[in-house]
Amino acid sequence: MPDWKKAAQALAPEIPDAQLDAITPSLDALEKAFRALPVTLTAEDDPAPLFTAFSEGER
Amino acid sequence: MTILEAAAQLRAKRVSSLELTRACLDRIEKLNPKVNAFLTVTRAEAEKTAAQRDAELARGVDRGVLHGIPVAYKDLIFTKGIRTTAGSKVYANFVPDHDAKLVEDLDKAGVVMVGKTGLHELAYGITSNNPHYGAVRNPYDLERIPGGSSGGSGAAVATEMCFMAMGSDTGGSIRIPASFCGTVGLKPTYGRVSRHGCFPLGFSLDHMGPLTRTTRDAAICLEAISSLRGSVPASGAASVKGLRIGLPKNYYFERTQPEVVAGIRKMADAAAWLGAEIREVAVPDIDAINAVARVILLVEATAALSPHLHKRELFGADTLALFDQGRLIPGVDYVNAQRLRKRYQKDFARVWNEVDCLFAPGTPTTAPKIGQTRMTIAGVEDDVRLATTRPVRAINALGLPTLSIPCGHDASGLPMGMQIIGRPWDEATLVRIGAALEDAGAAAMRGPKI
Repeated sequence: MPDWKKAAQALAPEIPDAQLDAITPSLDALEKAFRALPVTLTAEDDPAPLFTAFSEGER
Repeated sequence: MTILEAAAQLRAKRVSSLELTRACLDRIEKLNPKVNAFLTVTRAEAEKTAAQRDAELARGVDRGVLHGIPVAYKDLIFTKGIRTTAGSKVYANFVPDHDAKLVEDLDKAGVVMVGKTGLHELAYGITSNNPHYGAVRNPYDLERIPGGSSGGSGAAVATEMCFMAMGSDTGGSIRIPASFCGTVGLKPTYGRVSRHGCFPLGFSLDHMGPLTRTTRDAAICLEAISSLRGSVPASGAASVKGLRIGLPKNYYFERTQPEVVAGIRKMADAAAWLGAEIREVAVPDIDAINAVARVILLVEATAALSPHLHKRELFGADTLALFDQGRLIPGVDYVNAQRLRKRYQKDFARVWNEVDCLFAPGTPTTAPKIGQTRMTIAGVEDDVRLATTRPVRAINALGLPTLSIPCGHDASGLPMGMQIIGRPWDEATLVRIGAALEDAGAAAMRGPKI
C-alpha cells in the first residue's frame, strides 16, 4: 500500500492526522480494487474524454 | 394526480394552473416542516407565473403538456435571482444571474416553479442528511433517509408537493431517492441533457434528469429538456411484446435484500406475461467498473471544489473525507481510470447483442435509518454509501440510460425500486417498458401515510 501519511504531508494544506487515519481504510480498499486493473491497458486504450479542437471557423 | 391527468384537467377547465400551484404550495407548507424536502419555496413567483399560464391558455396559447404544471429543481440547478446553494455552505449566498439551460427549456414548456429541493451536501453522498440545512426525511418513515443526493426531489414528488422535481445523478443520485421514496427516476444517457448552469460534481459522470410519479411523466419532462422526441406512448398503448429483457446472472442479485430480488422477479414475470422474452445474461465485471468510477469521481469532485478546500470548516465530515481521498489519488490513476472506462464501455456493449435491457435493483435494500453508517446484506457488512451505490455507480461510468421504477414494498411498507438499464440513447425502450408495467398495474405504489 502507498504511504498515505507521506503523501498527505506533501499536500498543502496538509490533511490532519485524525482525518487521514479515518480515510486510510477506504483508500486501502480502493487501492486493492483498482491497482491491478491498469496493468491490462495497451497503447490503443485512449481515455474516455478526449480533447477536441474547435471546428474550423469556431473560436 | 399525474402530469398527464393534470394537463387534461387544465384543458377541460376543471382546474386552473393557479389552483394546482396553490395546492402544491399548501402541501409544502403543511408537510415540509416534517420532511424538509424544500430549501426554498417561491410562493409569490409561483402564483404570479401560474396566473400568467392561465391567462395564456385563456388566450389560446398552449405550450404543451407541461403548461401550468408545478415543478421543483434540485438546489444545485441555477435559477436566476433565486439562491442556489448546492446544499453547501460554500454557496450559501450564491444567487445566479442566469437560469440553467434545462430551467430555460422547462420554462419555455410552461412549467411553474414552486421551489428548490434539498440535497446531500454538494450532491456528494446518498443520505441527504445535510449538516448545514438539516436532514431530508423519507415520507414513508421520517426516521429514515430519502436517499440522495436528490433526496428532496424524491420526497417532494412522493408527497405530491410538486408533479416533477429535477435531480442529478453522478453515482446513483436520481435512482437511489426514486427507489427509497417510491417514485420514478429517469437518468438519461450521458450527454443527453445539458449540464450548463448546474453545479458540477463529477464532470464526466454527472447526468441531469426528472423524478416523477409515472414513467410517462418522466418521459414528457425529458423530452422538454433534450432532443428526444416521440418516446411517450399513448394511454394504454405501451407494449413490451418481442422485447428481450435481461436478468443478470452475476453480480446484481448478490448482496441484495431478498424482498428486493423477489420484487424484481415479479416485475420480470409481469413483463413475460405482457409478451416480453426474459433471458438470463452474464454482465462484465461490475466491481472493476465501480472501482474505476470511484477513482474518477474522487478526483473530479476534488478538482471541482479545489478553490474552496482550504476552508475545511465549510464542509461536513463525510464530504470532507471524500475530498481528502481525492487529493491523494495520483493523476496517472485518474487517466488510467478513464482509459479503462472506455474499454469497459466496449465490453458492456456485448450485453446488447443478447438483450434489449437489463432489470436490476435500484438499491439493494429499502431505506436505511438516518445516521446509520453500516449495514449487513447477505452476511456481508459494508458501509451504507458503498453498499447502496453498488448496483448504480458503474452505470454512470458507462453513461447508460436507466429508468428507475417502484417494484413493491418490503414487509414494513417501505418502497423498493428497480432499474431498467438500456443501450446508449435508447431511453424510448425503457419508457415503453416502464409504461407497460404501469398500465398493467405492476408498478403501483401505496403513497406515504404522512
